[in-house]
Amino acid sequence: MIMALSLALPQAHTSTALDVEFSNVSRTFTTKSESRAVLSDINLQIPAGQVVAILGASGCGKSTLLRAVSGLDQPSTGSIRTGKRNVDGINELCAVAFQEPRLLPWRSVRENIALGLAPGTSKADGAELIDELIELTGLSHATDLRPREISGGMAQRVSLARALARRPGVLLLDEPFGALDALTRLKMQDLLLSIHASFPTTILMVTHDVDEALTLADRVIVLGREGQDTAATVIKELSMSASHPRKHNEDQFIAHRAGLLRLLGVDPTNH
Amino acid sequence: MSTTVSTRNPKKAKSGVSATILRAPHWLLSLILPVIVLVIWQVVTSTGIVAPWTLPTPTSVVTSAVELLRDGDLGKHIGISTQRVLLGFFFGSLLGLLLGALVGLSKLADALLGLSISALRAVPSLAWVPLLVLWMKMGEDSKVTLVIIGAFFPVFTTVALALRHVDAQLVEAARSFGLNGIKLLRTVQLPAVVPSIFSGLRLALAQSWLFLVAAELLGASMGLGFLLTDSQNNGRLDRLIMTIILLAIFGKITDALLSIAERWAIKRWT
Repeated sequence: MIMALSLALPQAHTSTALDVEFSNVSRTFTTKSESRAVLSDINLQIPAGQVVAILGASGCGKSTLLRAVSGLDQPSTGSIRTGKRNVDGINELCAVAFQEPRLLPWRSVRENIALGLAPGTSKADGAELIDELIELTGLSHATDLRPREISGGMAQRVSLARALARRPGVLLLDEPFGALDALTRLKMQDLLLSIHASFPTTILMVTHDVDEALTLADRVIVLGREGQDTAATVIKELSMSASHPRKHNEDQFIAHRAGLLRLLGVDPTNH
Repeated sequence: MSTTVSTRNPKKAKSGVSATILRAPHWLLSLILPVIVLVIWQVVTSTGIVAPWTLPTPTSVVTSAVELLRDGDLGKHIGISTQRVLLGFFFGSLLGLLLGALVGLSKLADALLGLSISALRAVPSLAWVPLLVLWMKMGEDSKVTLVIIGAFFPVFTTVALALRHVDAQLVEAARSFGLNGIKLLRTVQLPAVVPSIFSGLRLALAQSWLFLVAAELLGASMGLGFLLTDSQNNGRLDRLIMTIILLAIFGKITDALLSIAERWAIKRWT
């Protein structure tokens, strides 16, 4: 259904994609009693339009890294650049979709998507873009419904559409499908690929799911800690060149999968 | 095991009975108790079980109401009391809304004002009356001011608390799209607390009637509270009881109107 809808919209928008650069980024959380280093020495160059999956164990700072790009959090040292601008305060060139949909309960689906529109968008342009996003995300039957009246998967599609309404240079996805059931998650992964085809942009997504990362991403970055008390940093990078859709039984896929699982502390022979 | 089953069965039968009763219209069920009270009242007074100087008959209460109404006095008392409640309620809740928003949104305002306001809140309503009478004399100002004080605190407290507990994730999501300041307040924080505002308003309205009677009991020449003291001084038990019943009716009617608005707000904003 979703794929069919996306095929009905073949024309790709002009790309808004921006490149992202992390230079010596570190983040230490300080409370009165202690300070805890979460991230250190993050140096990454992400070309415009790339889909990057960030993998890592819980609590290793994946979300902190995304929040730093969006400007919701500031790195303790180092800097992040999106396009030509260094991130300082809320980064309006980005849009975030969180693990929870975080929709305004008193607004309809359509009004929630409109929240994402960039400031200064004319009424007509905004309405046209929203119509298109509603069709792309398969929400045509639900535009006037309230968030409490729709399923979790639909709510997450609204959240994605809201983020895309910004026409972001960088789309930040913080475990966007983590709370969904397995089947819905697969559908959402397909949707994300068709979104990327229609609205080419740079995508940084945090995930726990090795298969999801290998299915969607052009590049997989693994965050991890070397010792018990050290901050996390990039411990592995993979580039995937295979075109979509990717077969999960290809040799490269299987080898990458086993390697990543082992790196994350899971015995691949059991899974 | 079998004993638990046998004890559960009669319970089920009981809930069957209450389910049957609950099928009757709600207003009919609500009227059962008042009608029973009225019947008992009529019986004990007309048979002389209770002496008429202790409790007048229902009929004499109605007669006293009709009498006062014909003189035009009752209308005057009700009118002035309603006016005081509405004025005080309006300005009190407006003030509560503004200060509540300030304290709920700004940590600085909370630190500066929080303690003082909650200390003022602890002052019993009647304690204000002598001061207000001295400052503003016996006129309208002192009564309306007391009602303002009464209406202020419930709105202030609920609004400040609700604003502090607006879903942080929603606020963060909105901030990530660049909303801040007044725009964030208008788009997320205010809509999120609309239902709380209405429950605060309902509490404030109940308090307004409470404080009104306190003000009128202690220094007034008109109003329902004055009618209470006046009837007490003249030994007019019939008027006294009538006034109490009137206060119950007006309190309930105004609360019912607000509760309709509240239900609409909850449906619209959640």
